[in-house]
Amino acid sequence: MPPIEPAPPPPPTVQAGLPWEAPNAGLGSIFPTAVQFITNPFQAYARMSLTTDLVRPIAYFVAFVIASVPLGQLWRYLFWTRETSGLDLIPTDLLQQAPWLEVLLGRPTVTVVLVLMVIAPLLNLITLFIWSGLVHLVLAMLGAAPNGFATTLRAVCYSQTAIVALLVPVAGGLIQLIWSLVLQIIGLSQAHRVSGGKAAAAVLIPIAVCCGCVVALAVISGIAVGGLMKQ
Amino acid sequence: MLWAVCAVGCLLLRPVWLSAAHVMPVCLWHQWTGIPCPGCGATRAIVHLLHGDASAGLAMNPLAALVAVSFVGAGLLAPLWVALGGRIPEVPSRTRPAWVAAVSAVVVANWAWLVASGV
Repeated sequence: MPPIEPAPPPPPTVQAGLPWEAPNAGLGSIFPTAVQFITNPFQAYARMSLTTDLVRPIAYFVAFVIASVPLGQLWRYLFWTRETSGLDLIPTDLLQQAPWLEVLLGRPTVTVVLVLMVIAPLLNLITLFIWSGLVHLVLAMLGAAPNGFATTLRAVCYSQTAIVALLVPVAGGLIQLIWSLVLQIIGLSQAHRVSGGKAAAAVLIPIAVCCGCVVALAVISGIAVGGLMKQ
Repeated sequence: MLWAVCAVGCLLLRPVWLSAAHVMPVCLWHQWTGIPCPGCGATRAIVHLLHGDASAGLAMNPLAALVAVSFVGAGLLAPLWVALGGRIPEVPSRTRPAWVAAVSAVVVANWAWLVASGV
């Protein structure tokens, strides 16, 4: 009598939908949703609904942008110097034409924070839309966008969770940028069910088109310097 | 709807774009090699467009100017298109070599123009 093989374990069940995507979910559900993206982004993106109204992920994105403004401006207030503010780069005649620019780039005030809390969501929505479009275009060129633009947009929206890195002073912006790109790669691979390589290519190619030349130049310079050192 | 909001936002934030253009970093590739990168001139093209000078914008970076105008124009028309029952266009999900080649050719042709015109 052949030995009875044990039954394979059942596949892990992934609950559909994030807390923020539940019907009638309130603002309080943003916190557990963000915790999921921070602690286990693979599972969080696997749970992300592809059918919920797009307003939900976009509202999540906007909420994080609004919350990041006072935090970012707090660090700017504490570490502000004229040299690093960019004010010296602006021509004097332009500063005379647009005096509000000096207010915006100067040491932040409560008024500046409030104005930014209105402008920042709009600026970031434009960036979100254009960036998602670029990423989706590259995904489509790689044949890796089976679930449409809305899915790409959702993945990019939830990558805004990385904004919590702004809690770290000075280096928070850089950490946020890298973390956000990593979340997007995970999100696109999970949501579109494509390989991590294709998702990474979709996120990195638009950056490389602008910055790749600089990277190539740095690599060539490095090789040249290495060759000189051997001589 | 999101597209329309972004298009209106682009127009409303015109003073911000014009001011931000002065604090944009220079292209390191262009500075080091003297050859423009594929994105060179995009900021200046959009500044020309914001001043209403379409021909100067097109001369500076044709692809960037066309994409910017299409983005805002189509965004403003999108709600009307949907209201009239128009189908929301979707980028094809499968790779089509001809399509990929066309996009790549447009980017390369634009880059060649930037190099030739010495942007």
